[in-house]
Amino acid sequence: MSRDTAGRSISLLALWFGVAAPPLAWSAHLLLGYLLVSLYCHTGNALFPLLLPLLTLLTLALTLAAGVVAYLVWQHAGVGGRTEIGGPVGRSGFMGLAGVLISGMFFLAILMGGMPSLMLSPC
Amino acid sequence: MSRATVATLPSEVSGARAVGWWGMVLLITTEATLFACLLFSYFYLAVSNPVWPLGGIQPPDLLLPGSGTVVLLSSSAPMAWAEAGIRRGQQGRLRLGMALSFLLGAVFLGIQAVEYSHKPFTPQTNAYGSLFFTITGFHGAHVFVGLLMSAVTQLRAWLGHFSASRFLAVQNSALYWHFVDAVWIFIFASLYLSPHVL
Amino acid sequence: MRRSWETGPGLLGWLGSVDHKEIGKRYIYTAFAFFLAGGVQALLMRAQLARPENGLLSPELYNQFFSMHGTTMIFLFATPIQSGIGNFVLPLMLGSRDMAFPRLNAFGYWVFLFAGLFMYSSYLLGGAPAGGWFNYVPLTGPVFSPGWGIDFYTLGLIFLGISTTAGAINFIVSTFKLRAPGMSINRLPLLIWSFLTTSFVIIFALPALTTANALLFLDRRFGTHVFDPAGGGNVLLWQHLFWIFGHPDVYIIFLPAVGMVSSIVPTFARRPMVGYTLLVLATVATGIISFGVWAHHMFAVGLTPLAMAFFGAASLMIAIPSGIQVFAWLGTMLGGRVVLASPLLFVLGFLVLFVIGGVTGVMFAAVPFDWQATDSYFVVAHFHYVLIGGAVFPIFAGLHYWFPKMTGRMLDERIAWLTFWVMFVGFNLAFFPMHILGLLGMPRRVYTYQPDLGWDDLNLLATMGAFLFALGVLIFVYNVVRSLAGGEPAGDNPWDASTLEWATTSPPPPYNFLAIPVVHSREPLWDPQSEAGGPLLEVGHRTLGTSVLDADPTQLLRMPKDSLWPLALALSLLIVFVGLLVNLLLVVLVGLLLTFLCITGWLWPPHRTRELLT
Repeated sequence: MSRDTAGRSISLLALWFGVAAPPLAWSAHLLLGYLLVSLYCHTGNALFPLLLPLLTLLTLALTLAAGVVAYLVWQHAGVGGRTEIGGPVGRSGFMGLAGVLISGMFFLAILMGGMPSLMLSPC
Repeated sequence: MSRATVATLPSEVSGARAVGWWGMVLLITTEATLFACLLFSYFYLAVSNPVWPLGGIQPPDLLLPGSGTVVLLSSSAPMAWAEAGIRRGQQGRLRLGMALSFLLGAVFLGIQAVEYSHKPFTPQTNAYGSLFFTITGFHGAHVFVGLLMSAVTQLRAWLGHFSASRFLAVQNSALYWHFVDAVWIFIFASLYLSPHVL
Repeated sequence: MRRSWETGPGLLGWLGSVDHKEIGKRYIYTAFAFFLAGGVQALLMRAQLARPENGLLSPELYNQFFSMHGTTMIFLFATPIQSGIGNFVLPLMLGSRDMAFPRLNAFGYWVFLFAGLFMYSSYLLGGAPAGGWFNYVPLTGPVFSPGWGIDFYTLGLIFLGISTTAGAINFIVSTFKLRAPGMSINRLPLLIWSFLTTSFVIIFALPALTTANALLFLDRRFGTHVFDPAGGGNVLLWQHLFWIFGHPDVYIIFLPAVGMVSSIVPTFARRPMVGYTLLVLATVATGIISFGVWAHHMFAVGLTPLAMAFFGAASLMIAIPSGIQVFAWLGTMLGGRVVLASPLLFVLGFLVLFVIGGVTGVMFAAVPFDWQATDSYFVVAHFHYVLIGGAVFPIFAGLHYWFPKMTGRMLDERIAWLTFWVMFVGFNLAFFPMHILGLLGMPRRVYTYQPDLGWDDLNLLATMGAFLFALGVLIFVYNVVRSLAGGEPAGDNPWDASTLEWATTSPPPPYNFLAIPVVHSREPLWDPQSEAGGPLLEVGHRTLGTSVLDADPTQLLRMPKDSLWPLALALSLLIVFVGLLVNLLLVVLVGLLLTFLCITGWLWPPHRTRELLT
């Protein structure tokens, strides 16, 4: 369990969610998108092209949620930019800030990756 | 931190704090990725060809491999029971559980050998045959390695190497075994079930 | 302590050493030898290309040279030498006495050595692999490459992969579990973050290469049809599998180099690195996104527009973290009081060359441009700028930086400056003209070309540059030999650096630290608060195990002493691979049996099982 500067506890799950969810969402977007396109081009089932934008929106939403959670963690830790402070407080602040940055990066990556499917045909 | 507290730190550690456990987890991760690459290859070739399986081969029969699946997956239960036993220091449970799991694993390999002998195609027949035998064979080799690991661990168990505080080898053997079982689920679904569905 | 930790005397001690410092140095020496071998092959190729329609090398030999040059530089030099530097530095920088698995470390070295020798023996046994370093089918399949050449490639790389994977596991577990108390995750040096990310990339990327090589070996040796279109196979499958590994591989090479740069810049800017959290993120994000760009190596094979757009977009995205890193380094230097010592000089060279290479890389991310320049000398120019600029220059920076720590001697600064300038000028003379040659239409991997295409002078210039670069490398070797014999003694911390490896003698004692350090900040040696005294752990052969996030001490780890099992296991595996190469089942089975016996013997607990703590 972690604690912030005011002694309130920050859950370990929140810490890891902020940091791990964006890359996992991006990976899911890549793998499932690849899978969906392959299956569509092989079977012709019209359901798949609808699932693709949905996949992009869902993974974007997940990444955004992770960013929000990470931001809250960072604020609760209360260390600001001084992430070199020791102990659970500093470490939590670091992971919170890291989560904010990582969500931003992967949000952009998912967005850029998802856009072509809105403009180009899959096969 | 004080030097006095250091003297109270444990020296023999099993469980998620042991470095050996982490080593096994990472090994399993990389091996799992290898199986994923093989299955990727299978599906890639499947969608690259108009008809799959190729060359008039029928989707695989499910009875024999199905029963093999049941045998293999159930072998995880005595293994877990054995590990839980040694965490309580129960040597008998350790030995019996591992022996049972070993037996079931060996039966699985036997069933697979029978299945192989009935197949109307070979790895050289076409790409479907190549991947079918390569993937199931690679998995079978992992089962065999798991059985070897289990055999050595059982030998050490009979020599009295393990106790409630020292059982990392049991833990690692069990972890590897559960991994081999879990991978089979994906292989069974991909190679045996998906041709009937897609 | 010294008697307990020191490697035993004589040949057996040398063969059985598990000390990370010795193993690290072996990796460096061996990888450097392969660097020279790969370099000689390059010089011969450049000599062949110096004039049009030259007859120095036959086309067959030329093909072997470019294949082995690439394979050597990537697999037998760039990754292992950084593994070696990492091996030496990491436990010291973490404040530990060794890696988590010292015997696995030794094993990794022996497998690397044997795999490299295995692959090079091909020159004497029918010819080296000649299908290029990425070994595309169907050229490398059974029909167009009969003989053993490609089998040396597939089997050799599978063999080498065992070493790389073992090393990655060792780095990860050591980083997670063997840190100095107080070195919580937010205080981890950037070099460690680099190696941690790289090791995870290895864990997930290497299996794709192993899969491809194994399937190709089966097609060639056992008549399977995975890559054979006539049997329902697909040649593009090779390309996908290879590049799913291959692109992350270039980051496996680049990320440790970047970590070294992040270690060197703060030392010579006399201030902590600016933007630590951003840099950690840049490193990790680059490693992850590297898995999503592989098809940009396949833009010219007939992928769908959607696929190309997706991978092109991802390839543009991956430039963002690298850009952040460049600005962070520049910002740190601009805000500091820069000391221009030789390691920093190589870092500056890296910055210039890597940015140029990065720019041409971004050009390739645009599909229309890629279609014009693919498989031309423009590509050759691009990847040499990012690989030599982005990896070799940082490696030389790292070697100059840590040489004093490894040997106790300083390299001569003036010779080091000469080394840098000769290498830098030589490199640009060799590779900048290749951009132009590519745009003029010269294809890559050609053993000669016709006169009067306008390519003659640029090729000659490139050849001269290549030899000049090689001269620079030789000057470095001279510097090393001279300094080992009688260079200025280094002292503990000649650069006044901030990380823990500089807190002990040069070279370090076998046990690294008499007392395990305790840290209170990211720059322990610049921090007045840091304690020198942590736990002594004098009795028994032990180091401290700590928790993953906060580095709180959790256990005492008993470390193994010298052992011959790693060498024995490596030899057993060599027997297996030789048996596979020459197609003798008995040899393979004997090798497998020996492998099983060695693993069992290695893992069998030692007899001192009742040793108690004091």
